Amino acid sequence: MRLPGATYLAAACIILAGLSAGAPQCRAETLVAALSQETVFIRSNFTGASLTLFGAIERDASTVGRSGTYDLVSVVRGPNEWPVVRRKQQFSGIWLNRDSVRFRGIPTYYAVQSNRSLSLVADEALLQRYEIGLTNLSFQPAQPVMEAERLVFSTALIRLRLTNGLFSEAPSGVSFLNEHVFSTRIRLPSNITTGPYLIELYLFRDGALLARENLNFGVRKTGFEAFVFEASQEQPLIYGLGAVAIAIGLGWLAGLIFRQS
Amino acid sequence: MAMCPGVRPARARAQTSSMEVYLPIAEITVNALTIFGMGAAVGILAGMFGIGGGFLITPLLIFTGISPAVAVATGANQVIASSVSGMLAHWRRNAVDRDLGLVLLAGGMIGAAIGVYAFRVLRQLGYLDTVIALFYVVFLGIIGSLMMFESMRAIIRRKHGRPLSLRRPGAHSWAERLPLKMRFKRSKLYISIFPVMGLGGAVGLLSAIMGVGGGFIMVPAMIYLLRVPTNVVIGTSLFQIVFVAAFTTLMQAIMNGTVDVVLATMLMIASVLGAQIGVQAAQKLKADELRALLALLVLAVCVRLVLRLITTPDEAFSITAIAGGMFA
Repeated sequence: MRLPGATYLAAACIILAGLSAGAPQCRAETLVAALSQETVFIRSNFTGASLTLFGAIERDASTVGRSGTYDLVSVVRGPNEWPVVRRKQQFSGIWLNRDSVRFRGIPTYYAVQSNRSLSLVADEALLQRYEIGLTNLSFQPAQPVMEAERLVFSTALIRLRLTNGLFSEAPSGVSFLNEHVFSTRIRLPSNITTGPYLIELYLFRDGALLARENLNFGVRKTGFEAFVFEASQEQPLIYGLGAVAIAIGLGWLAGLIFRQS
Repeated sequence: MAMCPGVRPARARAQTSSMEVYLPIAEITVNALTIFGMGAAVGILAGMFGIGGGFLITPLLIFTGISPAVAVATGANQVIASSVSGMLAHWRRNAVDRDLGLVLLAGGMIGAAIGVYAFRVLRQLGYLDTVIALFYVVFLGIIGSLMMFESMRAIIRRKHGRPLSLRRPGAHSWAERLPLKMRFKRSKLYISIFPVMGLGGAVGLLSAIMGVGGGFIMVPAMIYLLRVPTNVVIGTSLFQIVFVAAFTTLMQAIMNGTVDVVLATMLMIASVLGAQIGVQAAQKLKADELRALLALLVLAVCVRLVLRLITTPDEAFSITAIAGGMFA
């Protein structure tokens, strides 16, 4: 693991906090967690990133003793988008995009991690309510479409996102270091969207939701990449003129150098 | 790129597997050596044959996984660099008909504007990739076949020791009967501006949709259609190409935001260096056999594109993201 020292310190503090008695006013379990990185920077050599999350389940003296073990689920969501899913069909010998369905507010990144299979953690209704799990993510079409079509296109979207690593579901992605302390790794592929990311932590026991906790991190382009991207978005005229100037300059320079030699 | 001052050594070691470069507009990571290699290879061919190479770079970029929209717009940017030094050389030799070039340019800008707008609409409808591929198949197919035919004929003639008969264009053409005539002193022409603007417009449209300079259409059309004297054809064609490509790049950046300046710069550096090697190499090789080879290459790219269009795709579905849903 490549973690800065401060993160180890933070993790150690959380573990200690988890082991010691919590604040007296707590009536039930609470979750505390910390992330190895608050911001992920996309630079020219970006090939993906990996974040580590450490957390602990805090209990106080008055917490009722329960049977069974804790289950922890982590749901990471990237910024929302309105994706258009298109289907290629053969048209006079050529394959081209024909039908399409547009969905409202689908996360660009969605990763569910748990310490065991979601079906063992809680029942379907509860998972659906919190949109935990790929099958429970809601896909609302932007325009009315037939239910069968909606299903075909949303399934395709999930499959494509799974293939490029933007959607994932790991039933053993959360590991408990002891009864109260857990950790999980968030893997971000190189094609992630920039913006705010949300981590939702859910604590279950015997199928009941005991506690929730949210964390945030951001993905930003930085340095030269950020400068180029922002210029192309916010100052397209200047960006375009710059692109033309570089090309003219390079062409002219090449002519100059190779004419003299 | 070497421009990342804040990279901590530990991160750099872990993340830089070799020469991976993140392209900010294409939004993917590519291997810099692949891009440089492609740019250099196309540059060598461009130098050998005196072509811009845009019609080879764009399909190659698409084959590496860069979206056709970015490949085409970036191709137009690259065309400027590969044409500007040639244009300047012709300009110094007074081999540019400025008036003719400006009329061609006027047509070219109209064509490019229509092309960039069509590009935007086709992209929204999801047909852009297919239309780009179809344009390439048609043009590469025609050019490849013509070049192959012509070079085979030249090889046969050379082997039989017969000289090539130079075709002289006829004295009259339909272009001379159109109204709104204009005098082009440098070319010693008195012709209607309609065919001139029409030619410029057609090339401008191709520049926007295919990301090419269009010299492969411009040069023969100027010689056979407009009867422009051969000593000013190349210079005037390059003059028009530089400005139309610049205009297209600007329009693509403003309307579609698909010009990747990092990708373009890598391609430009590689291709201008490659072009110098190509120019040297061309002097040592037989021209007609070289043209036959280029024709083979063009036809191979064409076949590859045809296969992409007609074979059943592994994945019929694709996702186009419109972040935030602003352009509903």
